[in-house]
Amino acid sequence: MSNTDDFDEFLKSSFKKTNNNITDEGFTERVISNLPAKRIFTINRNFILYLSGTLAVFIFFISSGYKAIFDSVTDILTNGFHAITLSFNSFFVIAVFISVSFIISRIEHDENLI
Amino acid sequence: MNGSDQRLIALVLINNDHRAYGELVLKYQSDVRGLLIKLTNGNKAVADDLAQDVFIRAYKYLRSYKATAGFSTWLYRISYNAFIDYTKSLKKTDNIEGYDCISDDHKDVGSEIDMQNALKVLKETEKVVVLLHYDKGYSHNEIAKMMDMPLGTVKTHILRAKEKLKKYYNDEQHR
Repeated sequence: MSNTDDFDEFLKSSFKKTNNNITDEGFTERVISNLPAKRIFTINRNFILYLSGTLAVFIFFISSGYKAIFDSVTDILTNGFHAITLSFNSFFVIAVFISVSFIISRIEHDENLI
Repeated sequence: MNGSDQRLIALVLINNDHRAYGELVLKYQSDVRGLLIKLTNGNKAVADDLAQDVFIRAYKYLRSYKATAGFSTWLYRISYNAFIDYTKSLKKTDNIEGYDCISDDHKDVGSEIDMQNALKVLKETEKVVVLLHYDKGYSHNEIAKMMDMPLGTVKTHILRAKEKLKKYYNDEQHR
């Protein structure tokens, strides 16, 4: 093995020699018997997202949510460093923001690091 | 990924069809178990437990699979995560024996034993990168994407691993 290319070829051929087909021997059956139970209702993930999004927008408008958010953001910007004076709405907006951030990052984490 | 895989995946996603998933497991079990046997230094029992975990994780998260990469590539990524989780759990429990063992099935296969012994000199991540590159034929770029790692890091791992393996084989020759 005088140079790198030779060694690369040596490694490739060494691994190739060890690549035998592994017979199933009941492995597939064991996996299938341990799968989570079948769900009766398969709810489409996109459907849930669109539905909850539409609902959120609807509730936002009928409850004058834009006014609450505007007041809260103004409140946070003016009193942000004096937490005692923050209103209930401001706390609520911060809590929702933190919760949603946590839920989204949790979903992304679960889906990307499986 | 071929059309047959796509059809099977669609059946699993739409109907939770276990039989269709069984066909996918049967098709890829040899590749996944083979990789995990090498990663666990020939410990077939541990490799099979991990492989089972890999296929169950894949089933649970099949919806997040993007067909831009092959199904086997996705399974290797899950295998890597399962293997790293397993080694972390060993370190947490201070398991000094670890997974290190050559299973009885391989006792007569000289080259296989030799390769397993050679791989023992590598760190976990180096082992995964080397196997994906030299055994499974993935390019540095593909490995970087698969393992969510910068390209430079992948290259460094391969370079270091090669140096270690070269030293191992040279030492073996002089014995």
